[in-house]
Amino acid sequence: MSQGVARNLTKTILTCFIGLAGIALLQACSISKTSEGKKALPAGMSRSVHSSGGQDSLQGKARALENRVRRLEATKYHLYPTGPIILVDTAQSRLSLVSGSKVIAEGTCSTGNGMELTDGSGKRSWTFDTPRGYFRVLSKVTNPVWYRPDWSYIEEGEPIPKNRSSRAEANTLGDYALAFGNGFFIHGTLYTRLLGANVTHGCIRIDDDLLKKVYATAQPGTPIWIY
Amino acid sequence: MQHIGNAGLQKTASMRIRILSLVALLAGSMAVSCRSRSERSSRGPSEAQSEQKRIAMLTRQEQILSAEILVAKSTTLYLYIDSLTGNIELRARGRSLRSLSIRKISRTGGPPFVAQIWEETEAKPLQVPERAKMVPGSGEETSSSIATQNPWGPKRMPLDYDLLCKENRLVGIRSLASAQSRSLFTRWIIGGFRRSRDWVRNVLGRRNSAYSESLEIWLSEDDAQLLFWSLPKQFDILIVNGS
Repeated sequence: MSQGVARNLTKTILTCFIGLAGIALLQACSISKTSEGKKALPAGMSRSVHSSGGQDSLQGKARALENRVRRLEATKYHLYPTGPIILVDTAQSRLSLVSGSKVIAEGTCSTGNGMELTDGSGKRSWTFDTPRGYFRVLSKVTNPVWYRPDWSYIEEGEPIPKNRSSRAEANTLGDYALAFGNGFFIHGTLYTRLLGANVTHGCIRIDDDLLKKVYATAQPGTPIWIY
Repeated sequence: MQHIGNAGLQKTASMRIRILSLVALLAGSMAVSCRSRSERSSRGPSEAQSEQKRIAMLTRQEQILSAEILVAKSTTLYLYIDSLTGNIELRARGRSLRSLSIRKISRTGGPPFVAQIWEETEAKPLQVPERAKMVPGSGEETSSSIATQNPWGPKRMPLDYDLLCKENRLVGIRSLASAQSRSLFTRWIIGGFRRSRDWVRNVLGRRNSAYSESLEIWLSEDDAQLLFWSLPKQFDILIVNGS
C-alpha cells in the first residue's frame, strides 16, 4: 500500500515538474518575442527591412545587380578582339603579335626619330613621329617597292623627280610590308644594328624573322595599337 | 477486483504522464522555434546593413562598367583614371596596355559622380619638348647618327602638361621628383618647389576658375613623361571617383 502511494507521489511530482518545465519554456518564448518587439531600429532603416520579406527583397535586388554586373563584365571582356592583334610599345621599342592573351611573336622594333625637317623654301616641314592610337592593317605587300617621298630627296639633298616611276626603290623595306595608313608601314630593314633605336621617319621597322611571322598571321583589318 | 482497480488506476496515471510529457515536448519545441525566430530577426539589422552595402558596391560597379563599355566600344585608346586604386591606365577595348601609379590626385568643381567620361581635345605641354632639326642634304646616315646620339624617347617629353577636354574641363598632369638616384631631402625640396610653382601658376593664371571642372594628377617624373609619350590624338578619359 505504502509502495503504491510512493509510486503515485513520484508520478505526480514528475507530472508537475514536466508541466512546470513546459510553462517555463512557453514563458521564455513569450519574453523573447516581447523584447524583440521593443528593439530599436538603426537610423534610416524601415521596419519592412527586418521582416523576412524585406530581407528577401534586398537579397533579390542584390542578386539581380550581381547578374547585371556579371553580364556587363562579359560584354566588356568580349569587346577585346579574339583574333590576332599587333601591339607596338614605342617606349620599350617592342612589337608584339598577340591573339587573346597569347603572344604569338614579339621582338624589337624601331620607330620615329622625332626630328623635324624643313625644305629650303621654308614652306614645307615634316615631323618624323610614329603615330599613336588605333590603326588597321590596310594591305600586305611582298617584295615591296618604296616610292620615295619628297622629304627623302630633301634629306639627301637630291632633286625631286617629277614622275612616280623615278621614285621607285626596291630592296629597302625588306621582304614584306604591311601598310597601316598615311604612308606608314610595318616593314623590314637593312640597318638591323639600329633596331631598338628611334631612327625611322615614322614607319615601324622590325627584323626579318618577326616580319615573316607578322606577315603570315596578320590580315587586312588586323587591329594595330601603337602607344 | 482490487487488483484490477489498481491496474486501471496505474494505466490512467501513466496515460496522464505521457500526455503531459507530450505537451511539455510540444511547448519545448515551440520555445526552441520561437528562440530561433527571435535570433533570426535579431540578426536582421546587421544582415540588412551588409546587404545594403553589397547593393551599393554592386551599383557602383555597374555604373563603372557601363561607362567603360561605352568608351571601350570604340577602338581608340582611352585613359582610365581610378582615384580609388590610385592608378592611371592606357586602355584599349577594356584591356590595360600601360599602368602608372598616381602619387596625388585632387578634383575641383562639378557635382559628385562615380564614373564620368571626359573627351580630350588637346595635350598642351607647359614646357614644349625640343626636337632635333634635320639639315636638308645631310643624308639619312647623319640623321640616324644624330637620332642615336640624342635619342628621341619618353625622357624628352614634358614633365607637366594639361589635357584640355570638351565642356571646359581640364586634366592637369604634374610630376613629382622620381625616387631613383635622388635623396629623400632632394626629392622633398624638388617636390615642394614644384607644388609651389604649380600653385603660383594656378593663382596667376586663374586656372581653377577658368575651367568648370578640373582634375590635377601628380605622377613621378618618369610616369608623367611616359604617359605623354604614349598619348594618341584626341581620346576619351574615364574618371572613376573614390567617393
